[in-house]
Amino acid sequence: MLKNYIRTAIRALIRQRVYSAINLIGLAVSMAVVMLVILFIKQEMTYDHFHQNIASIYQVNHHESPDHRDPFGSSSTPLGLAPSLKAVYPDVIASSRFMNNPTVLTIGEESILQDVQYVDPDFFQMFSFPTVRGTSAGFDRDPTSLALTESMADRLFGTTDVIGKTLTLSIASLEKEMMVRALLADPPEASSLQIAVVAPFELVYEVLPREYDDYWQSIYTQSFVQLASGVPISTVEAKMQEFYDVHNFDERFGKGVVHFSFLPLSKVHLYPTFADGPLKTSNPMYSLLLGMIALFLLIVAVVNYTTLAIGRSVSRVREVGVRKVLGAHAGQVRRQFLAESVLLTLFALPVAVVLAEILLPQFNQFVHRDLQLGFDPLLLGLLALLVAIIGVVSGGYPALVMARLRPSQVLKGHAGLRSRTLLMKSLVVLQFTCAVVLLIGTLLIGRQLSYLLTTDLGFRGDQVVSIFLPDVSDESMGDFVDRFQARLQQEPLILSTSWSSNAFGLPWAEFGYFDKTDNYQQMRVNMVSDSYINTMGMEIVEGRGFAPDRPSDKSEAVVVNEAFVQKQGWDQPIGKSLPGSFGTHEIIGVVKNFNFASLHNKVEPLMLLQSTTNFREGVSDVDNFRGIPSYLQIRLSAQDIPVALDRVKASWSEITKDQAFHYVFIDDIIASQYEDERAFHRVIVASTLLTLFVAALGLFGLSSLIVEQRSKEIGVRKVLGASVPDILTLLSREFGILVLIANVIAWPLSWFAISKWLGTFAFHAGIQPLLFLAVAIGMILFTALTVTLQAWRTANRNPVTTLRYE
Amino acid sequence: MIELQNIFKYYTNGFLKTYVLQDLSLDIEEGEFVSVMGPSGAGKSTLLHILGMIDTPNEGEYVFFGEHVHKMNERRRTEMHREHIGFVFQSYHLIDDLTVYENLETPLLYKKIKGGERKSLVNDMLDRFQMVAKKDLFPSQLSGGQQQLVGIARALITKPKVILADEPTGNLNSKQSAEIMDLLSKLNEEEGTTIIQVTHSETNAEYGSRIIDLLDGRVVREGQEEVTAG
Repeated sequence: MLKNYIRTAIRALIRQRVYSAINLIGLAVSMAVVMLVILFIKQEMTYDHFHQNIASIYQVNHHESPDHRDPFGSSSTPLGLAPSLKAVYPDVIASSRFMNNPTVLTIGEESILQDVQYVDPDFFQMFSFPTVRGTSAGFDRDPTSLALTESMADRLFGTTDVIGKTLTLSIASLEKEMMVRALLADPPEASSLQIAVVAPFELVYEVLPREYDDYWQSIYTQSFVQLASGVPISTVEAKMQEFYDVHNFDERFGKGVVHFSFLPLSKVHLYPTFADGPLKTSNPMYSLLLGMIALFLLIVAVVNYTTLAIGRSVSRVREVGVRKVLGAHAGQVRRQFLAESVLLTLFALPVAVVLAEILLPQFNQFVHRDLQLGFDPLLLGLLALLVAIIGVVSGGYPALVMARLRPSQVLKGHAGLRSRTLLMKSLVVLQFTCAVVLLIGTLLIGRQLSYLLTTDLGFRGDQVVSIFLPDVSDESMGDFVDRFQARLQQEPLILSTSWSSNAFGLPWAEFGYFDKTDNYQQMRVNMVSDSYINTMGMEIVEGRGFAPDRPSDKSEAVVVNEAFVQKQGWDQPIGKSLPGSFGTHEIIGVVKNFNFASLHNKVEPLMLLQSTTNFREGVSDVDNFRGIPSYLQIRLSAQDIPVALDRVKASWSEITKDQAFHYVFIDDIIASQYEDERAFHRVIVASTLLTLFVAALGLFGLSSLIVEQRSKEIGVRKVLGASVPDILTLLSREFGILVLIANVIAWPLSWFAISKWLGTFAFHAGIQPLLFLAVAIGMILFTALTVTLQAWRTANRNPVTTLRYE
Repeated sequence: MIELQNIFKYYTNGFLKTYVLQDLSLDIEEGEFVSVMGPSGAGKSTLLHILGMIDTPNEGEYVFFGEHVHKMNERRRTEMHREHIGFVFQSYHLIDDLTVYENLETPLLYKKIKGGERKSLVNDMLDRFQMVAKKDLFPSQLSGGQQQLVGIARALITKPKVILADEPTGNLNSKQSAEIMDLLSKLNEEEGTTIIQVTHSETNAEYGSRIIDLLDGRVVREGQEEVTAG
């Protein structure tokens, strides 16, 4: 019997090849996209699963909930936390800190700036980063041990035969000769901990005093603990209160102000609440959105099948009638039509796999992944399930309808089904709603992105290069920066230079303090040189900027931003001092609000100053503060930027004696802040185009069926005097109304989704009602065009031919 | 074997009832060859559909081999006509996507007859109708007369007790028509198959042993053909 179903199905598919092709293409495209999205989501959900101890490893997060300010938290923890937890609790069988720090590595004459990961000896037992050659055992005893991943070894030494080779590692004033003891396999892509050069955490104590282990109010590093197998985390959590009491926390905070939480390693990747550390995390919102896009595309393709199947049923009803007369049960007819849709879906599957393979490199580029389409039982299972579901859902309704046909009616020549029923119309509306939601989403996301990249940020970063200055000791740093700046000033193509302690694109220092009425306040702080405002192209709206020739400006002058003035409610800020109990200082100017961070963030009260000496008193807490010049901003002449950049590089080599030169344009930093959004935008643009394509295919097929069915009516209308445009309007109007309804349904849906997304930005372009209207008009024109293409022939046909057989 | 008692079939359109069959009663014995005649719209096809259990009357009783059809559920009715009834249509109603062989096989599939037996039944039928050479052709590749032969073969393949033929020769020329009618009467005489045919043609009607004339849903004349009269 099944053979008979399949035989009939295949012949029917071949006989109606145009419709089969439409369905096959639509299903294949949507299944290919679903496959890619499954690959993506699967990777997101299985991050870090390669670690054998995943079930017993936790990341410790730090939380503070002081009375005077909102609670806040971080994935950074105090220096002493990880070792103490292991020392205090027998249940904690291993612990490791993970600090990622840009470090200068020197091999022979060559030196490069590279992220180095500083970890405790337990690290290699806890995490499954296999050693290919050598051993990581030396991390216990010898702080000069180094481990490299294979690709890093290749980059540094040009070979993976590196055991016993040495290099010099420099952080701050420390210069250490390190020996490579272990060669590690490259970490999988789906690893939150990305390692390249792994060094013993002991080295950190050569830069930071060991007493810092007891500074529980300061946070420095990520901490991981591993519990004995079978011990639930709740047993450690329960004892944490005791732990707080044992360790003398900052007395200014009452008990219970600071606490720690334990996040299972399996959840670290999709838990971006504290995405402030070096771990690779991502927002689960994007998995969800990708899933929804794939679902929408799938709905459009499935609806194509259903509407076309019902539309074509006119040519199948007779067959169904005959089969029933020959003894077919309703169930057998149902199964036959289901077999047909499942079979078509099965045919679409290999096409989808090939398509997915073709689209994969592009998709990987869009989402910055290196996903592979391999043999994977889970994926295969999901695909089988997908085929079954699509087959049953798309063929289900036509099968039901066919099975219910009454043979006596059908055989007397009454065509059983009408393709313009309410259900058909609803399906078409559903389909277009999906397409319109995607289209509006695409356009609004595109608008927001262009807003992000073109809006006035309060400074001009287009010709400004930022250089990270190497960590050298404070004294020589000032000297180094002065010499470098003096050298650059000789270059005609370099307009101005300025150092700062904090960089654009990274969080600036944050000072907390109590004002005169004992209210807690916070402000952002950047320590800068006098030319900063000028170099960055910021605008002074009141007062003045730093004057190089006034010695008092160096220690006492403060420039605040408009947000600061607004927060204090001042009319006349110039000459005032900040509301806290700080040393001598004076506000000399107000700078127009600018965004040093991405537009996800509000502009907070902020001050610029040249030295923080007079502010040591009066500050209650400090975040992200680097008290030394750490970045140099250089404004290049627009005349010839490449040449100007070469001059900077030459000067750098001269001053640093050939240290590696790393620079980045401020504009590139700004653009890179929206990498997630841009990746998502590329994906949604591509998906929307595919969805519109599949919807157009369906519309094309359906309108041709309807035109066929109405050819007699069209003939009669022409005999009665209707013109060709009259006929085209008649045929397009019906779809036009459906598309309009779909738009009206899609508007609130897309408005809701987009305002959620826009809500992640403090600054946004807003939602333009006109755009919604434009989409509606565009879609109606698109529909009219598709229908007209189909109807043109019929409308122009001589009515005599269509009416002849009446 | 077939008893119709006071059958009514009507369609309602607003307040208006249009009667297709009105108070029709009829007995047909096993082995009869009945011709139903009458003008267009007299209810001939509806009567045939009711007899074939693919349509139900609004009122009245239908007893088939002692079983009350109106008391059967859908499944049982499907089984009854699958077991006992073969249909032949004016426009043949072969399945376009299936070959001659597969068309013949289809009723056997629905009867869940096993592969080997199915094969021999189909081959017997192909032999008997001399269509072995045509078994792999599709309906569109056959002439009308050949298609109707397949139609009859398909109706016969399940060895039904009753053949219901709705103008079986309506689309055929007189030569083809005579062949088909000869075939039907041979079936009736040699195998005792009960045949009920609807026809417009007096000539064809005379192949039968009894003629029922319908007009506006009623039997206007019913008579045994007088074999001796000729």
